[in-house]
Amino acid sequence: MLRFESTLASRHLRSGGGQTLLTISAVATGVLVVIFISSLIFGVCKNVSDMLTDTLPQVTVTPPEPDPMPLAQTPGATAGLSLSRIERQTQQRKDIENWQKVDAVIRSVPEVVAVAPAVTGQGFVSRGSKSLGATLYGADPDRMNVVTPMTKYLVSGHYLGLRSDETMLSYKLAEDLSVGIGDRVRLTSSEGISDAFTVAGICDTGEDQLPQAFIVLRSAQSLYGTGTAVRSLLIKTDDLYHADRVADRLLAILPYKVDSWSRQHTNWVSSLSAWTSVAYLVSIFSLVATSFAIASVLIVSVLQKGKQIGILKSMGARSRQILIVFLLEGLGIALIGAAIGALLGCGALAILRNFKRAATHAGGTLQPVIPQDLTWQLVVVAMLAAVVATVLAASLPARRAAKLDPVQVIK
Amino acid sequence: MSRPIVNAQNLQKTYYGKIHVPVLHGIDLQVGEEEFVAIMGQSGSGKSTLLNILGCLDRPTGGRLEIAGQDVASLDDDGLAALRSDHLGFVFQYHYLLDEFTCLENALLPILIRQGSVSRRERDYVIGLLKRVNLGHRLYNTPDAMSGGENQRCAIVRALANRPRLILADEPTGNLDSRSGAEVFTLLREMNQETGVAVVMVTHDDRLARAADHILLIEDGHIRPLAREEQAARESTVTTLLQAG
Repeated sequence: MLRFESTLASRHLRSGGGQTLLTISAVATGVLVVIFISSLIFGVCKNVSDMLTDTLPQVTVTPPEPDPMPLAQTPGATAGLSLSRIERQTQQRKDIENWQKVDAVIRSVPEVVAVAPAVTGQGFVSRGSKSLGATLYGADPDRMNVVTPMTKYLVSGHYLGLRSDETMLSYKLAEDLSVGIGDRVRLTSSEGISDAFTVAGICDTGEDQLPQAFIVLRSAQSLYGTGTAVRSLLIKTDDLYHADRVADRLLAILPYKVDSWSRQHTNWVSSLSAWTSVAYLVSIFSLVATSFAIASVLIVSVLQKGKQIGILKSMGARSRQILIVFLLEGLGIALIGAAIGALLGCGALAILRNFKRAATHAGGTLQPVIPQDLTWQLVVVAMLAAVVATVLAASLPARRAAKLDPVQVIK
Repeated sequence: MSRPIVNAQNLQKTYYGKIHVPVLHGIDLQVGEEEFVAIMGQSGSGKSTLLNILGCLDRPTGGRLEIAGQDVASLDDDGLAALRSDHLGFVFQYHYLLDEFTCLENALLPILIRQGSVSRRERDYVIGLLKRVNLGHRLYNTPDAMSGGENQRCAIVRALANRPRLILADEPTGNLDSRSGAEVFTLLREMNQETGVAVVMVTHDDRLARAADHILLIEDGHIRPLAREEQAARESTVTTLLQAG
C-alpha cells in the first residue's frame, strides 16, 4: 500500500543526481569513520588487554596475608593503656593445602572456564657464573596453557609436554643468559632450594616482558617446599570483563584472597575505558555531523519540491503520505550510504592489515602496525546507528514537507 | 439547475495579519452537475481565493460550503484530502506535472495516491483519455520532452483520472499561446459534455468565457452573474480598444 510513497521517494532519489550522491556520500563517510576509528581504537584496547590477560590469569586465588593484631587485642593481654604502631608483617606466604576441594568449588561457578593450580615465587635463574632474578611459574602446562595461552607466544621449543626437569624461559631472560634450547640452567627459589633444568622452550610475551621461567607444578612444589600444596589457583573466565564478577562471587564463598586482573591493573583498565569512550565519542560526533548534513540537504530538497508537494496535496495526498515519502527518501539514502560506508571501512581496514612491523627477534611473528578489532557486530551497529541517525535527520524536513500549505506553495 | 455539486452560502474570507484583509464578502454560489461555469474578474478580486476554497485547499472564515453534499467545515485535513481525492480535479495555469514521471504516470498519480495501486481497467481508462486528447504517442515521455500544450492536456487528463464530479481550473490557458489555449479549453468543454463533470474555470479570456454555461463576475469580493447584455457591451469595449490600439 506504500506504492505511491515508495515510487515517488525512489524517483526523487534517482532524479536528485548530485544532491542524492552528496547525501549518500555523507552517510557513507559517517559509517566509514565509525567503523575505521572504532575498529582501530578497539583494536588497541584489545591488544593491550590481551597482552595483560594472556600472560596473567584473569582471576587469582591466593591465601590471605595474615594481619598483625594490636597487643591490646591479643587474648590474655594485660589491661591498661598501650600505644602500638601497627606494621604489616613481612610477607609470610601461606599455601592452599586442600586445593583440590577449592578447585572443585571454583569450577562450580558457571563463568569459570579453566583453573590451573600453581606455585609461583621469586627466584634466580643461573647459567655458569651469571645469575638473574626471575619469577618462577610452576603449573601443569596443559592447564596453564588454557588459563594463559603461553604456546601463543612460543618462539622455539615446546611448553606443552614439559618434563619435570625442563623449563621454558622468557625470551629476554634467555637472551641475557645467552642460553638456547637444550642448554642447562639452574633455578633457585626464594626458599634457597635449587635444581638444574634443561631449557625446552623460549617464549616472547612482548618487549616489556619480565624475566620468567616456567616449570611443571611438581618441580615448583619441590623448589618452594610446599609439599602437595599450591600457592595459588589461576582462573580463566568466559569473558575478560566477567573477571570482577567471578572474583566477587568467589570471595563470598572462599576463605581466600581473590583478585581480578582489572583490579590488579586499575591504571590499565581506566586507560582502556578512556580509549573506549573516545571511540564512542568519535562515533557519536561523526553520526551527528552526518545527520546535520543530511537534514540540510533534505531541507533544501523540500524547499525545491514545495510546488510538487502542493500539487500532490491538491490531488488528495494526505500529510502522512508526504511525510512517508521524505522518510523513505531518508531511509533509501541511509541504506545505500551505510552499505557503501561499511564496504569502504572494511576495505580500508583490510588494506591497513597488510602493513606490519618486523618481529623483534628471529622466530617472532609479524605484528600489524596498528592493531584493529573489526567484528561483524561493529559493522552492523555502525550501519544501524547511521540508518537511525539519517532517518531521524530526515524526519525534520519530512515533517516540514507534510505541513506545507498547498495554497501558499502553488501561488 | 441540476443537483448542485457546489453549494456555497455567504462565503467569506478574510486574511488575518497585521492588517485584516477581507477578500470575499458573502459569496453565494451553486454549481450543478454537468455545468460549465466561467468566473471572471480583475486581478486581486478574489477569483483564485474562491477557487482554493471551493477546492478545499483553503478554509473560508465565514459562511457555509458543501461539496458533493458534504459540509466541508465538518471535515478534518484527512477528510478534506479524501474529498479532493474522490470528487475534485484541479487544473492550474502551469501544468505542475512531476518531472520524475512519464506522461502516463503523471496522469495515473491521483489513482495511485488514493489507492496505492492502479488496476488494469483504470490504466486502460486513463490511456484512453490520453489518446482522446492526442497524447497516445507521448505516454512514456517525461514533461520536459513535451510541449506546453501537451503538458496542459496531460494535466487535464490527470484531473479527470479519478472520475471527479468537479474540475476547478485556474486560468488553465493563461500560460499557453492562443492556439494551444483554444485546444485546451475545447478539451475541457468536451470532457464536461462527454463525462458530465462540472467545471468551474477562472479566466480572463472573454471569448473562452462566452462558451461557458454561465459567466460569473467577481468584483471586490462580491460575485454576480454577468448578464448577456453586459457581456456584449464588454466584448464591444474590448473590440474598440483593440481596434484603437
